[in-house]
Amino acid sequence: MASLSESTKYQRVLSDFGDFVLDHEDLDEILNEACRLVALGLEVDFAKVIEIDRSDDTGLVRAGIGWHPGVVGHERVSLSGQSSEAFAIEKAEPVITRDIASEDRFDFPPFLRDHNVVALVNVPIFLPGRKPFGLLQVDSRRSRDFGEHEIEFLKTYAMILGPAIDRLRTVAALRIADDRLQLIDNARAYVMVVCDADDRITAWLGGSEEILGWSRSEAVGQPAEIFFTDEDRAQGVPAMELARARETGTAADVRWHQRRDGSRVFLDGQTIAIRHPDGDLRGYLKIGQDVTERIRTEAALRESEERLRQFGEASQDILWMRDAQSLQWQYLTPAFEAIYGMSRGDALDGDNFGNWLDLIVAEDRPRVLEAIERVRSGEHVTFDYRIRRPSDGSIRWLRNTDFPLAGCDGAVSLIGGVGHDLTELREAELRLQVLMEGIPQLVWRAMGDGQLTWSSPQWSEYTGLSEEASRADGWLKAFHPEDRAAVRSEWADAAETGIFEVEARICSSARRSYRWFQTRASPVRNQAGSIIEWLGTSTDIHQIRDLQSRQQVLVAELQHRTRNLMAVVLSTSEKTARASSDLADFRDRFGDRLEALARVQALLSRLGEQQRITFDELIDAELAALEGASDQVSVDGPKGVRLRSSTIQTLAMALHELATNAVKYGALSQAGATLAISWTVARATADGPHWLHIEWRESGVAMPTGHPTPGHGRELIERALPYQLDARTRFVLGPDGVVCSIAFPLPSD
Amino acid sequence: MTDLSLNGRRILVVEDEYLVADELHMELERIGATVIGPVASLADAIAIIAATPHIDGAVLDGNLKGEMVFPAADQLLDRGIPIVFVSGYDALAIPERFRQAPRCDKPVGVRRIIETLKRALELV
Repeated sequence: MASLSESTKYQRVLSDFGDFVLDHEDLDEILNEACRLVALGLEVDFAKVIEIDRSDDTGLVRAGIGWHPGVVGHERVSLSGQSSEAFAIEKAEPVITRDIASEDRFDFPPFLRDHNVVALVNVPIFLPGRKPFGLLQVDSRRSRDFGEHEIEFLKTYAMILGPAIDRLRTVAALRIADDRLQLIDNARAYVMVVCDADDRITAWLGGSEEILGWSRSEAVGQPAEIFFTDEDRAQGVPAMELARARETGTAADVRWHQRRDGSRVFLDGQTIAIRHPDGDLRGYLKIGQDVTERIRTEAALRESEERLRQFGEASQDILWMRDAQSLQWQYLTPAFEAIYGMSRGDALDGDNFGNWLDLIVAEDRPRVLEAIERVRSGEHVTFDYRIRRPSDGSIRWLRNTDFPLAGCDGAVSLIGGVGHDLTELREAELRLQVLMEGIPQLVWRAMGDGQLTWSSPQWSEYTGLSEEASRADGWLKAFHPEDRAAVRSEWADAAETGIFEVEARICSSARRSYRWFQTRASPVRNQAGSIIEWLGTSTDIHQIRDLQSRQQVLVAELQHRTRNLMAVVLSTSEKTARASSDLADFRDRFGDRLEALARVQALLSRLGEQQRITFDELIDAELAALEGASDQVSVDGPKGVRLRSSTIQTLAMALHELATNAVKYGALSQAGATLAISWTVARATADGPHWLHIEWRESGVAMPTGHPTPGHGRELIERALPYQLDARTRFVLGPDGVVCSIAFPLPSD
Repeated sequence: MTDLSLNGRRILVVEDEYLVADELHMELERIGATVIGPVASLADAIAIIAATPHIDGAVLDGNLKGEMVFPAADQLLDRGIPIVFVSGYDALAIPERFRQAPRCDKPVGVRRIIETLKRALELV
């Protein structure tokens, strides 16, 4: 039983300690005061508080009284194996050692012996929830016992100490946390969220409200996954993130999140697991920066780069970029492969500028190098050149448009280029040129008002005007002065009618004479239908015009002959009718004469232009119609005496009348009689025309007394031939037959 | 009854086709006309026109052995002498200045030529 004074003393110690604790908030001060008061109360030399450090299973001398310097805050006791401290914590009971020298249960740390400690009591201190905090120890230099009251006092004292320690630790932690939170809360650019172990939001700090949209009061108490996207929630991302944070301490949280209004925000941050010192999970801190703008910009840039890449990949033209210094390609699109017939890999290998130059046709190389030099100095340059494809040796025409790309410092750092394959266009142009220069027409191009812009070599060759001299109005000089007004007025109308067509004479420089040309032009229109220019040809129609006019003459001549012939037939029928005794007689005579006329027409119609009937042909045709009796007829004269066409009909009719009479009454009507036809050609005077002299001589004819006058034949010979042929004729009824001579001038050719 | 409708008229005949000229000649004389010519060439026509002060009318073949009769026609027109063209050609071949002159296209009967001539002489 403790004495009253002892009891009072213990009460006093506890009460003083309670007062001290209420007035102080520093744990170390409180623990040291606790040691001082307990040492005083129990009249021992030393007292100390040992705090368990589970990280290495030791106990730190956290506070104490009576000890040499270097003990409090430094010395540690082992909490494993044979220590009295470990035993006391394990038993959760005070452990008393009366004399270290006779104690065989425990090992003691050396600093106790250094302080000549002989007896000691270990009393465990528990925090609320029976979590061991450490030990309260009192040590004495003398061997002594500790009574029941003293032990009870120590137990009570340790029981008060536990909650006091707990409260102070909490206060300290809160103060630190408060300071930190204040700092954190000022960082408005960050989302900062503290959650408890169930991931419920307990603090909504920093820029959380501005960035995510929920106010502090709305957010606190909500699960943290409210600001994850629906997709992430559906896939369990929030839980996975927490699991990772628990496992490794932190988990990256770099993803799209969702604002209160449903819009998206990209947070770049992490989730940190917060633990109590003993390792138990306290909750999570989520911290993240709003990088939406940066992400969007990067995405837009990536998209733009991707579009540019697709654009380049799809282009039929080669797009490339080369370094302005080394001239090496840095970028080359796939169109290169189609045009050059080699892979981009091969093209980019090694000194790709040198290799590229080697592909260019040698004579084009200087032009290309010069162009690239100009681009280097800042110009945009378009140039054409040829390459020889290594795969098949074929030539391709390319048109490059190269341009400088300036770096940050404004100097040309890259050269960009677009290469277009002109080969087909060139070939088409060449074909067109060959066609335009090969056709016999004179080809030209002009503006709507007749201003010539281009003329083909044929034009210059024919007119003697150079292409340059023909430009604008120059061409007009080639046209006949009389035709120029017509050509000009055709141009004046052309824009309206959309047709230019005129026949006019153009001077041939070689012949020094004008020839007729048909000049036509068609308008070339743009998509809106306006005339851009005219493409024209001038075709030589001189010969056609000659032929046409000659044909007109021939047709007129034929018409004339036919109508004349009909007039002759009409007259002949009249004359025959007057001379005929009856219709039968008329039919014989008239039929006969028509046949003779028909024979002449047959001869005439066989003739080509410029041809003439010869006299022997005429005689042969007439005699052939006589049928037989050819042995009585002799023909003698030069062949090939050409007769004027206009003379033939009358001459043939006269000869026909002579022959008819000979058959009916003369030499060819009697056996033994003969007919001699002879002719010669002679000139009356040295420079006069040639004359044809014809003699028709019948002989051996027994002239009948009642010989009828050969009326029609004689009229033709004596009157028609002189009238129409300027002929000199003689007709004599001789004693043994008719003798007739006919002479007339021949055409001069 | 004898037709003497052209009695006393002096008619020039220029025609290179003898048979036609002869028939025209005979028919004109039959109805009382005096025929000047006929002549078959342009040169003869011009000569006879110049040499003949009094001509009442003329029948002209358009084409005389390849020469057109128009120079002779001009001289007759200048003297106000009515003419009738007898032509194997179409109207187109006749120059504009002779448009007023009556024309008979070959083939044509002599009687029609004379009827046309009478109209030109304003006898009908």
